[in-house]
Amino acid sequence: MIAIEARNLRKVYKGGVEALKDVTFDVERGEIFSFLGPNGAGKTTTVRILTCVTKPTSGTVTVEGLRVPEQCEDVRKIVSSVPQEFSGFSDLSVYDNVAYFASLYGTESKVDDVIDSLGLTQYRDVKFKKLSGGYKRRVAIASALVANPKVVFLDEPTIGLDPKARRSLWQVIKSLKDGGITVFLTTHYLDEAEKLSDRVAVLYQGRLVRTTTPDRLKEEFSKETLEEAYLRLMEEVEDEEGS
Amino acid sequence: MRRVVRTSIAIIKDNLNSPIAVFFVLLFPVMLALTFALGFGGLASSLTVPVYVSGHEANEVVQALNATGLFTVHLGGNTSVVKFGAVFVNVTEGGATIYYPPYAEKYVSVVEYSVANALSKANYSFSTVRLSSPYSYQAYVLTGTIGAMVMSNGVFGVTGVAATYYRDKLIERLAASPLKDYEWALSLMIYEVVISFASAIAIGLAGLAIGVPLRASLGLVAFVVLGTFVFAGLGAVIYGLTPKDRVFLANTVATVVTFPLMFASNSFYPSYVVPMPFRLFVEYQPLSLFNDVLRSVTLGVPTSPYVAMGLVIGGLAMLGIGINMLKLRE
Repeated sequence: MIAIEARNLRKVYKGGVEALKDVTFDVERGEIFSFLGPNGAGKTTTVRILTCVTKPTSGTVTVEGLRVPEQCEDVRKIVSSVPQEFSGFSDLSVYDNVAYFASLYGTESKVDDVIDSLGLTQYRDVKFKKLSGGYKRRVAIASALVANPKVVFLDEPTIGLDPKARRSLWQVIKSLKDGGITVFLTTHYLDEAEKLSDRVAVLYQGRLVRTTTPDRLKEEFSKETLEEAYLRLMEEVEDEEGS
Repeated sequence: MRRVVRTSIAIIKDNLNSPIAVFFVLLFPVMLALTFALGFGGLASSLTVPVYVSGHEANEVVQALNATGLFTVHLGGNTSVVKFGAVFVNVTEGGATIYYPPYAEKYVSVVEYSVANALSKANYSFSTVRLSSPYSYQAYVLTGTIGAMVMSNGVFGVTGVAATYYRDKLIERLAASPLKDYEWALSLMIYEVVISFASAIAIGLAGLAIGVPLRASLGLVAFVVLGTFVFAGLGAVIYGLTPKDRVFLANTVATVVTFPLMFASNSFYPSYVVPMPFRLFVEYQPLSLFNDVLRSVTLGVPTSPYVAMGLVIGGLAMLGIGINMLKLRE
């Protein structure tokens, strides 16, 4: 079953910058799908289109069978996103933050369960701004999960976190998949993508240059790690661009 | 509507939990009001009555009034000074006319006596005119401070809060939620209205503390709401036009726009003290017109119905513009 279907997606910003060029991919329901690529490749733009924050210039997108942007009002009820470096309401408590987002979706009854499942119970009355980076990210994910979403978009969820906090968050992300939620992940960390992803897509300057599994990409370039394979792919793409 | 209420509550709790916000919403307006009401002549006029003297042998009259120790006496002026709580004495060859606000009635006989002594003439005729200006200089300043705070809360409430939430990616997160654009804008406007009322109440309490009660009325409530919409709309326009990669520039622009409006207005002093042609700006700029309407509903000063009507239309128009400029999504 397809959760996300993007066909010939193109986005041109005011001023003529072409952020996405004819991008086509599918995301299977219940998988962790990672979008990889250097800065400015178009990862965040893709997420913003899929979450109905901005409109594509052309192309078609469906999320759980709903057309974007035509049915965005319905799409927003079934997706949740955690933007890169997202901060909640800094002077509200963990509970108030999660409860507020629940109120937007009418899922207030889930607040305690979500706080508990993300290991935030002892911090529920602590102000968001007083939390460590790792726990802030947990609150951000809690604010997304409390919506009871079918698809969650995580934009660089572990950026800036220490190794322990990153690994702890990986467990949280894996648990989303275990709960049947489709996870659309963008990340710069190749070890993270390798550990978590069922499939990866590689963007380069707005073009999708690969959609595959981490293992196949490693095999393609005969490399031990996804990071090495990715770097090799980037060299190849840059060479093609240069010639 | 539920989402608007919940979002408004979240914004209010988030911002009013901060000591900086409490300072700017509650303490700063009180400091501003008391500084201008007491520091710049207000204290003097609460202990001594300001008197302006104009006309024939005015210098002698000034000296005589100064000698009583009851008055702060100025040379010049006209009947409009009565609007600001002063007594005006117009001396002619045959007599003098004393214009006074109601609160100064008990001083009129002293003024008459002093003027008569100064001129040392027999058969001198006095006439007195009680002008229906039932407010003092302090009340004038306190009301003007409410206007100034409605403007600064309206503008900075939008540019500050929206820019911070944009930086924190909260707006991006809300954009991907079921919260509608107009619900977000309305929630922000409600927050502005709440802080405007908080400031107005703080100024009102400061007034009570110095013995200058302001009259609360439905009109005051309505115009504080409308004024907030006008100035929040201005803040929304500034925020909307600011490039989002430099979103905090909105606060700088807001400062550049609001400070001249605040201090070159009739908020803290009457416009007649400003020389022409600057007086035209001071009298007809939006904050001064808004203050005129506020003073009409709190102090009973008559103002043109067109100004009040313009504020209603402007408030609703700016609300519409603000909602349009504060879109969550592209």
